Amino acid sequence: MSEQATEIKGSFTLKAGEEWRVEVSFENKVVIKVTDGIAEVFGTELANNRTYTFTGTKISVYSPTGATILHSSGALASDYVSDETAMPQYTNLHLYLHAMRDAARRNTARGPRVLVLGNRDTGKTSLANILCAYANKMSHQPLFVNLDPKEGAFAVPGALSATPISDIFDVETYWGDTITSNITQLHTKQPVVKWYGFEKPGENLDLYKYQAAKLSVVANLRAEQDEIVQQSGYVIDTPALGANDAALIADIIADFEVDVVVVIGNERLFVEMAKKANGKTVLKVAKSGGCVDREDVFIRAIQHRAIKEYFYGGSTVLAPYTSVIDYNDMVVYMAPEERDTDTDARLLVRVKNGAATLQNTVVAVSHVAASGGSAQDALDSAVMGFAYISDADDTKQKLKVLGPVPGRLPLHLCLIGTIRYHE
Amino acid sequence: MPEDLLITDYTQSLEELTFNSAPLIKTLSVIAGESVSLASEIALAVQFRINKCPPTQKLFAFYLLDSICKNVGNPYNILFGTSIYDLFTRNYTLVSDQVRQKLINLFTTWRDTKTATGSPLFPQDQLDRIEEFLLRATRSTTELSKESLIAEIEQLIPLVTKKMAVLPHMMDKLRTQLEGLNDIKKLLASTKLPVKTLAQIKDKLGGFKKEIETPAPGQQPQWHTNGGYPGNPVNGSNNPGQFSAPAPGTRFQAPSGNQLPISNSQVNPPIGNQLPGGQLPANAVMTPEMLKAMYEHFQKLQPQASSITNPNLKVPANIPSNIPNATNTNPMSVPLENPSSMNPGMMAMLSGLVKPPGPSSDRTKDVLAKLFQSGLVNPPKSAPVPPLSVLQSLLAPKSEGNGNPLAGLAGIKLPSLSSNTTPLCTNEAELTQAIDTANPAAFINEPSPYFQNLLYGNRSKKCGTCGKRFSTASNVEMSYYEAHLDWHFRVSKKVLENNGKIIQNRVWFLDDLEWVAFRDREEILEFSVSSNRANSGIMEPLPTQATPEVALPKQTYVVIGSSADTNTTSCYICKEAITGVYNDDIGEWIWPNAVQVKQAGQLRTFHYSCYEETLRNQTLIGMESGKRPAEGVLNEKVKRERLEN
Ligand SMILES: Nc1ncnc2c1ncn2[C@@H]1O[C@H](COP(=O)(O)OP(=O)(O)OP(=O)(O)O)[C@@H](O)[C@H]1O
Ligand SMILES: [Mg+2]
Ligand SMILES: [Zn+2]
Ligand SMILES: [Zn+2]
Repeated sequence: MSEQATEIKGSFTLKAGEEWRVEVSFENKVVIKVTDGIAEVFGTELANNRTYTFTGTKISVYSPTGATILHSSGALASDYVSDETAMPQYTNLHLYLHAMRDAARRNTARGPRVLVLGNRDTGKTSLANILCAYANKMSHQPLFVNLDPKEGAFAVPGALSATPISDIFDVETYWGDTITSNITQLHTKQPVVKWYGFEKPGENLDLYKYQAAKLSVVANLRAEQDEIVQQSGYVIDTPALGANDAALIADIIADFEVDVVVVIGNERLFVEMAKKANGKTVLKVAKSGGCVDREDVFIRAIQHRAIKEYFYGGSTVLAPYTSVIDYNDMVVYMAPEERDTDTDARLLVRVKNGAATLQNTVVAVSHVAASGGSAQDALDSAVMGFAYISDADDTKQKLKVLGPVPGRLPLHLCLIGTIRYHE
Repeated sequence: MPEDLLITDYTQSLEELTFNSAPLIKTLSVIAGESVSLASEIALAVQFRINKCPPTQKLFAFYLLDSICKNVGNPYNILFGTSIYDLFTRNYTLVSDQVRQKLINLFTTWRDTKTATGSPLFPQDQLDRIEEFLLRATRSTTELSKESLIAEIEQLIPLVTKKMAVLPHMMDKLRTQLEGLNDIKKLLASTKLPVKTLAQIKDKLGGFKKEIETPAPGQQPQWHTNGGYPGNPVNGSNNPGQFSAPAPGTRFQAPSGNQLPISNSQVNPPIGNQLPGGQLPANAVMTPEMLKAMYEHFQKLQPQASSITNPNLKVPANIPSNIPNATNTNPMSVPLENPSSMNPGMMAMLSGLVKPPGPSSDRTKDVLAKLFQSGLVNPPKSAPVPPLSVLQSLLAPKSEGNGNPLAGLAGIKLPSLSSNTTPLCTNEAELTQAIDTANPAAFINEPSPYFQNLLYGNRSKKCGTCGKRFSTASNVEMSYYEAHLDWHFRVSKKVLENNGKIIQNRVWFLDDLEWVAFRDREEILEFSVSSNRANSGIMEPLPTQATPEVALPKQTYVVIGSSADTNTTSCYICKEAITGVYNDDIGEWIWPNAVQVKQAGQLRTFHYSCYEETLRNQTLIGMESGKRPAEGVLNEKVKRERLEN
């Protein structure tokens, strides 16, 4: 919602079915304004005659009908218009799901639970975003389930989450804000968050599966009790998984009771999935030509921004709170670094507090009070929020902690992983 | 605007459809196929023509409708389908017996035509209702009893067995028919059937009897003559000899395998090869040159690519040149029917997507369907046509039957999309249910500009602040939109006021059970901020989680009691007026986005958001000062009042 005074330099028309693909680095920004027609960013329609500012992103501005777009001269890493778009197929995929949701609504039944699969950078997250945005546009409220800990939608990297998409996305910050303490320009969203602590499922597959399963239990319970979520179904985004991850995929499908599997541009995986369809609908869709292979540095920058926005806000400026606590006042667990999975069933072990273990870590604060709480309790609790340890002083035995909420950090069990942050 | 011109010209050309001109019908069909972005307007124009032209000309306009639906298919069959019962029956009552027979014949082809996805051409319930209407309109008044029907079957069975002996090569078919007859007999004996079904059975039996008595079965349909579409020129009351009823035993059915519209040149039963080649109807007033000129004219008027929602949809390049030539050699061979001449976009568009008939557990229907399939059924006979008054009484709205039969195309406007105020396209529920969910793999690969409208056209109001779309279909939906704008307004105002003063922070996430119980938005009315944020500020040293004692009411509107003497009240916090609106769903006048709370012995009205926000801020303030939130946390004013009291 930033209304910069950036000068509008260029103007062009997007024909129906064309995409304007823009890459903006983190150092630059581009301001755009739609003056005529319909244009949308990953399924979220832009308001006309209003400026939107984008930075550090690779987006597609798609017009189903044609649109006139003004944009600032900002140095774009790349930008071009393409008329080869996967959008009509994605739109129809949505319409199919819409018809299923509609039928579910009429029969008070369960809406489609959709799993999006594909290789790295094939547009899984973009498609999940489009499907949620379209569903919301048509008055449904799908549960967006993020099983990709890499980007940590609605939370921070390392987290898995489920979030009912009850309102329009904030395109400028991709997913938009979770609930804040006061009024915001757009409706905020309310996720439930589980902590994994690593970027890839393979780093600790047991913990990953455990947390994904826990998340599914909560999600399924919510759906049972919340009619609109039940009837709208789920859209599940995943990390890059392939035919070799069949077992994990099967677990996810069972946990979330998936009905529709959508495979993006991976014929082999599609065939594998179709073979084991077992009553599920298995569909393949094309990979969008707009997908960009993202360099690791770019991913790092996205992760950094996600953590920063958790504390300091994106569209709405937030004020986090720094406090200093004793080493003794923080009970921290993490997955054991080396573990013989055959003999050692522990998913979490107690961390010895110190600069070596805690300096610059992102900490997930559980809902479980530290006194009397066990590792298992910490594991089974949802995440209450995140804290960042900017300093661990071994001599003074003090931690400098940044928390989202004013006041001292609650004395709750905490979990860490390998997620680090530098202010 | 070219679009407007195109519609104007199309409407004018419709007026020239005063006789059964196949070339004109064909040309107008082709144009319709190329102008899907104007489908609703074209459909409206055709419907208007049907309703308004002299009764002697109605049939030709119906033929055009038929040609468009069968050849172009989606979206036209859907557009017309929503009100085809109304259109058909209303006009049926106004035409001569001969034309009625033609309309019945036409209807029979609709009933038997399937789209490429195997769905009926028009919604099944519309077809069923037309059939029911025709049955009642044409049935002789004798009472039906199941006994009489059983007797009739018992007469038929020996006829079939006899035929089996004479025609051994038809053994299989006859055996199926025999089984069908026995099935019906059992059904009649065992079940109490509604009169409607009895009538249908009676009718089928009649048709079957005809066929069984006919020595040479299996004739192909006889659409024909005089270059007209598809039957005979009906202007020929002065030439009764030209009026040829279909041969007995002929099924009034589209050619077998009639898959709309992709399959082959057989695709279009009425226009195609049944016409004698080379000759324009004697009474033709349009020359091939005129048609060509007209076509080219329309070409110029085609909406530009940008206004066609499907980017793949292009005008088949070879049509214009083919028309005049084809007209000279064979007036009917416009490549409309030739799939190879269409580009993929056109093909995709042509593959009509119509909802398949729901699975029927109804045994009666199954048996009847079997009879239909085995081909022993004739359409209802036109024989004794009841007087107009009777027909009209048949059309009187009935309490049963879903949907309003008179809800016609009138409600349908442009499917083309524009930014802010795209008119309502068509009934969203119907359109949604027309999506074929049986075969998603095929569906997702057939981009349909028409269904796309569900995303844009059906929600024609777009919020200028956030881009969210709203429907204008009802007062309630309009009130969502207004409440939404209101909300933006108040938020912006507050954000300005708060500027720098109120420091925001992210609040803690919920635990599993809180989240399970959390409801993002009550769907009743669009209101300001997500409810139940009240547990926001949990922090040490609170021993337990702060569950606010004052829960937010779930209901986000206030029903204005009948005792209330005013429609307008004001928010106790921001003092802005709250005006009542009528809510169709609950049938009451309400204050949307409002809440009433008893405070200090008084019932006070608040904006839902004002109340909620105050509640939340007070909760926070209470906690920041290290206290648990006070009971009934209210705004400053209320607190002050309390102190004063
Ligand atoms: N149509 C498009 N136009 C421009 N950019 C696009 C388009 N589709 C996707 N992208 C960009 O390409 C990148 C990869 O897309 P996305 O993140 O959706 O893929 P993914 O499969 O989820 O990747 P990962 O496997 O890393 O999770 C992103 O930066 C995204 O913004
Ligand atoms: Mg992704
Ligand atoms: Zn808005
Ligand atoms: Zn107010």
